[in-house]
Amino acid sequence: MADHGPTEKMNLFTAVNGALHIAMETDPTACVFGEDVAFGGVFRCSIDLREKFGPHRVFNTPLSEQGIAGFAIGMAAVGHTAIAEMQFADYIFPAFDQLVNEAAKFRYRAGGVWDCGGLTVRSAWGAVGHGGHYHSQCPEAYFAHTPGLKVVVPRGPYQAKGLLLSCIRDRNPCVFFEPKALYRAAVDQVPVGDYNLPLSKADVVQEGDDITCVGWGTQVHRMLKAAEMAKEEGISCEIIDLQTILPWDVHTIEESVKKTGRLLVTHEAPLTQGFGAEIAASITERCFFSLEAPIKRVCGYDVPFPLIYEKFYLPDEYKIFEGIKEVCA
Amino acid sequence: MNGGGEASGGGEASSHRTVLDAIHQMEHKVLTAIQQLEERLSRLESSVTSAAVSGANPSAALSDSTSKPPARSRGDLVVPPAPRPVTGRTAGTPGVQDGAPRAPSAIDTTARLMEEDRRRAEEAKLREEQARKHREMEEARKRQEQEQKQREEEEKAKKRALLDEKRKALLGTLVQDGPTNSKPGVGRCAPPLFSSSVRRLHTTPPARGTEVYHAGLITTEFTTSLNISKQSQVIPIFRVLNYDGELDAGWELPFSKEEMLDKYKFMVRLSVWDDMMYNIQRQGRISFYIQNMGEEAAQTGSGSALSIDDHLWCQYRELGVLMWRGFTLEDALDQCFSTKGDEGKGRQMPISYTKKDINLQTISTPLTTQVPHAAGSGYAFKLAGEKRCSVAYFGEGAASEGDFHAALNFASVLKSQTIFICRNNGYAISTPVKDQYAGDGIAIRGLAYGMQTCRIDGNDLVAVYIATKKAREICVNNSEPVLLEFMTYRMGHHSTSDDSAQYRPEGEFEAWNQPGINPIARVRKFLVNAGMWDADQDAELRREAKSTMIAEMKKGEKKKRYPIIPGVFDDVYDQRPWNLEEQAESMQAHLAKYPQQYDQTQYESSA
Repeated sequence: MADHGPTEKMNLFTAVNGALHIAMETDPTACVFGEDVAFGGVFRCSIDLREKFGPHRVFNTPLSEQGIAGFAIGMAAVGHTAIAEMQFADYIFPAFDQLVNEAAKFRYRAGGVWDCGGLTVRSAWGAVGHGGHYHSQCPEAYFAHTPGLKVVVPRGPYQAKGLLLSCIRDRNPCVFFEPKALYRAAVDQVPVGDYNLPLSKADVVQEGDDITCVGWGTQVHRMLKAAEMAKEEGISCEIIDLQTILPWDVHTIEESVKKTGRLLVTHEAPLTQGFGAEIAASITERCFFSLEAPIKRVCGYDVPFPLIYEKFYLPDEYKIFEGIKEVCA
Repeated sequence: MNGGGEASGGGEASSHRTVLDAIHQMEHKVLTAIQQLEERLSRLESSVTSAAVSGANPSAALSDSTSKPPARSRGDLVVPPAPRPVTGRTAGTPGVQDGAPRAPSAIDTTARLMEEDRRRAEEAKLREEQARKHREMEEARKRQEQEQKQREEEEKAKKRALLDEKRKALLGTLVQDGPTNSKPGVGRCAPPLFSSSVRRLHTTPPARGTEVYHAGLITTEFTTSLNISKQSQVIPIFRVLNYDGELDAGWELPFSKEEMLDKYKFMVRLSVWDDMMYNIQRQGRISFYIQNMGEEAAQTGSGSALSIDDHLWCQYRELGVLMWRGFTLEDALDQCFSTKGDEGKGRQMPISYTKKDINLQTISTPLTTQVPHAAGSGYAFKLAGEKRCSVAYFGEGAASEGDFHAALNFASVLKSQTIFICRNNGYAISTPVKDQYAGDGIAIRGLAYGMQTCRIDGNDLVAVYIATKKAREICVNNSEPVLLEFMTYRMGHHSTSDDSAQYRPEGEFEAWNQPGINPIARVRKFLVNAGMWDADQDAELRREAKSTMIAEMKKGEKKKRYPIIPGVFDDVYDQRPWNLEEQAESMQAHLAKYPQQYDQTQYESSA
């Protein structure tokens, strides 16, 4: 962790809130808006913003995700910084057309004369223990299939603040998924001041020799637990947090797999067509002669997210541990 | 039938008239009669409604005019074709006569008539009896209702008095009555329906002791009469230049006559070029084209009333709007020929124009997606305190998309500096308006969203200009959105991939192409009346426009395309990520290996 000045204990939602405060302070064109944003947001991420920056820059929108995305693209297109909130990633789909057909192609179709780079869409993402079908999903793979977008998932408060500020300031439209299970659960010492963490750069969370494990968001914590168990079996795991799903950092993973000779990829989203498939395919191409075992994916099952079966559905640390053992056998 | 530009006048040849024609004529007469009856009925109903809504002025907010064009039902959007003259033999009236009747005898007839008389008398008696009973029951019911109502009122008044007393006792004399509704049983007075500026939702909670109202309403009014209805006020069409090319009383040209002539010349050039672009597509020289025929006044009138600082968020059928602000014929051809002159670098289909220095945001073919962008950018202009607006153009079909509703609602709630311009031209590809919506056009939706709204004759250059100018003034000065609905007609096909002859009713095109209705011919009438224009000048203008186009086309066709390698891979992001670098290298290597398989002669080399 680079030195970014004095730190404070923060959880993930206070870190996001801190990033939003800084973004608003440092950029007079920045606005924060979405459903229920004005009173502080259902996850408290926009708390105190309205009081500090006024109702014109921090506001509720009507209940329409496509409207939020379209409105935000329009603001960004004329040079403003639009920080839009989709209350849950499960509800981002009405905005899919706006994000995929409009935001992502905005610069390309204009030959570079117009862009909506000031756009950042934040959304609460992932399993939370009781979310069922529509408060649990991880839709990053849909967006990762769209050239022109950047897709980012932080694993904790420190990353959330630094990566969110980078997304807001990046000159490309970004989709920033916040693991809602970690809003309160994850606590870090987070710099109070302004800092950016690089996009499209994976983070080697723990070094190891026998196997490379790649994940993002909540999965990073499950990988770390699994690595603890594997350690007792004498297996040394290298844990990588991908952080940016698109455009992703193939080189860090490539380098690691060339060292360990084994790869496990894990995500909460269903197995088939998940982003793990892309990583597995690319790493096979690049590291075929270094691989000592087939690449293993430990992911959600290919079913809708099931409420009372969440514990069984999730690719938890035991399933990851089992996967590690299988690959290293 | 759509190749001919606007008609220069004259009737139709009356040969080849057959029985079918006569049937058409009959049908037309019957339909007209039904429509007239319906109109009379709807006028009667609306006059009753408007009387009920405290005599609200039904004229559109933007219109200062007192003269209202006659209300038309939606079915009348299409001007009915002129009845065809019937020649030759007269057609019969099928379906009126019975099958061959038997000649009845005199005795039979008398007996039957007597029997019928008796039966009729009995029936009449029965009906009278039933009616009397019904009346009695109805009267009894009304009496009961009235008594009940009176009891309720008395009870309410008692409760209210009791509450008031308690309240006063509790709070002493410090508490004032609520600002309104202090009289029991009296609702708030409804403000004029068509002036959204005075319609504001309540933002403060009701004072205690006053009538409870719902915060989501502009007016809270209770009623005991159940009224399920789809009746709405007539939204008239603002028109100042009539079908004879004369300005209606009370209106003057909002610009000089010379400017009128300039606009006319612009419209003629636009229509000539548009037609030629259509033809070069037919010849296979460009892959696709969208015609603008029939909408020249809507485009020219609105385009010339905007400022070049305003951002345009177009659909695709607005070439005149772009050209008015400096999008040249060369620009249009560069885009349609996909030359390196296209700022979009040839990445999109023809007609997807973009140009930064005239504030033309890129046209993209998904419908309506640009409309919420206009809401958002209009909001940004407000935040920045800029005296400019965003203008979204779209068709009535596009207004069915969710993006339309989201955009209007957002703009209205958040008060964006945005003008929404609907070109209601009768068709979405082949889908006629009657298959598109059941409501009263698009303007009614603006009112529903609490937005300043006006419906305009889109074929009236002057009305379009006046309304757009006024809309812009309201939008920029008051920081609020405005919706304009231009009633016009798409005279061309949807696109070059479409053949409207398959779905356009016979005679419809001709009706809209009549000299007073066709937007270009209407202005020409004005100019001819003013002694400023004649047929020779008109022919010369068209010749000149054609030769300009031919010269520009020759120039455009010679231009090369943007280089392949940066052309494919640049501008996805602000900087190329590793995967695009790798892919660009891979493509370059492949092209080097198979140069014969990929014709690169049209592209500029990527030096």
